[in-house]
Amino acid sequence: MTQSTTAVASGKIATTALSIALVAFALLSVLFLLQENGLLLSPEAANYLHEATHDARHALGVPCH
Amino acid sequence: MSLSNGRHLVVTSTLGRTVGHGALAGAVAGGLGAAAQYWLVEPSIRAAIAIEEAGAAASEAGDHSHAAADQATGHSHAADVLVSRGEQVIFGMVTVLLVGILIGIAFALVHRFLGSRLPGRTAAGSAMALAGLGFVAFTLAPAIAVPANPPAAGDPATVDLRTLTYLGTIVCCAALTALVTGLARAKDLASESRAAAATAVGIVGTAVLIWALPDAADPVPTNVPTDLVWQFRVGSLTQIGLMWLVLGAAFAYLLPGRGPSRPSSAPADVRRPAMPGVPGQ
Ligand SMILES: [Zn+2]
Repeated sequence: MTQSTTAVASGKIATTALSIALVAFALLSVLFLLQENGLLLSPEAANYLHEATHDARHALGVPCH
Repeated sequence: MSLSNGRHLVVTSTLGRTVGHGALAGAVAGGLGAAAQYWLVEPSIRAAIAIEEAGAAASEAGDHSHAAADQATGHSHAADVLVSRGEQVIFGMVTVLLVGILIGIAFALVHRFLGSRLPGRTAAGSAMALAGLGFVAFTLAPAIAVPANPPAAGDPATVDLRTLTYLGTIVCCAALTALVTGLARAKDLASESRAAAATAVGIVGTAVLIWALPDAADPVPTNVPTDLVWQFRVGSLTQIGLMWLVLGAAFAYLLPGRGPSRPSSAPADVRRPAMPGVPGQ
């Protein structure tokens, strides 16, 4: 019984950790899409992403220019 | 075969379902947001770019060093051949769809884990409440601190301060929103003191934020009509507000017991206790 409770508890902790990681990943992806400034991509790729997402960045109220 | 394994599977599959529902609700919100962007915001963006291009052409004709400086920032739309205007409109809508899906996933997971700590008596009600809180912390607060600007109305020199203020406002306001909501529902306070404490913390916290956050908004340039900026800001706020509303409503619709194809499964947060008398492994 103790063993199965521990298994459920650790499963729960793993699920929580996975969820937190997923939330962080989703929010960082949004930040990346709307803010990428050459930190992760080559300057050309960053510039392309910047220009491609430009209308959305302005419409979604993210500072630009 | 083991009970713990079975339960573990139930938990992980519901997590997958939560993520799936969040992504689906986010896609609906993002799709409608993209349509709203096309109809409500693109006209102002078009007008702003026309002003920007006219300004660039004028400065090119008058002052050569100015035009060169404009080019050096790599942000001039006039000289932009990397992505055409038509592509920018389409990619912009795709970006809104992607942002909707990603925010939808985060929204669903936060809703799942905060559960009964959110306001609202039903899961659907708490989804709508969470969408409202999300709008306040992630949209309204930064829109007040650093109002959205169409392409022509920003100063590249202040973009770092504006970005930091924007992100800082979101973080601070999300924390304040969580604190106020938590206080309003604190179990170890009497209901009157809960309301009073939540209201007081909300007012004091807002005042502190207004005082502490830098005044980062750019003045609107003289060549950009204030009508255009106003129209852009209203359009942008309407678009994002619509996205939160649709996200909350679509996610609430998909919740267990509400969706169309839902067998008689218990809600995710109701776990059946282990049956008495059944020995463990
Ligand atoms: Zn811009």
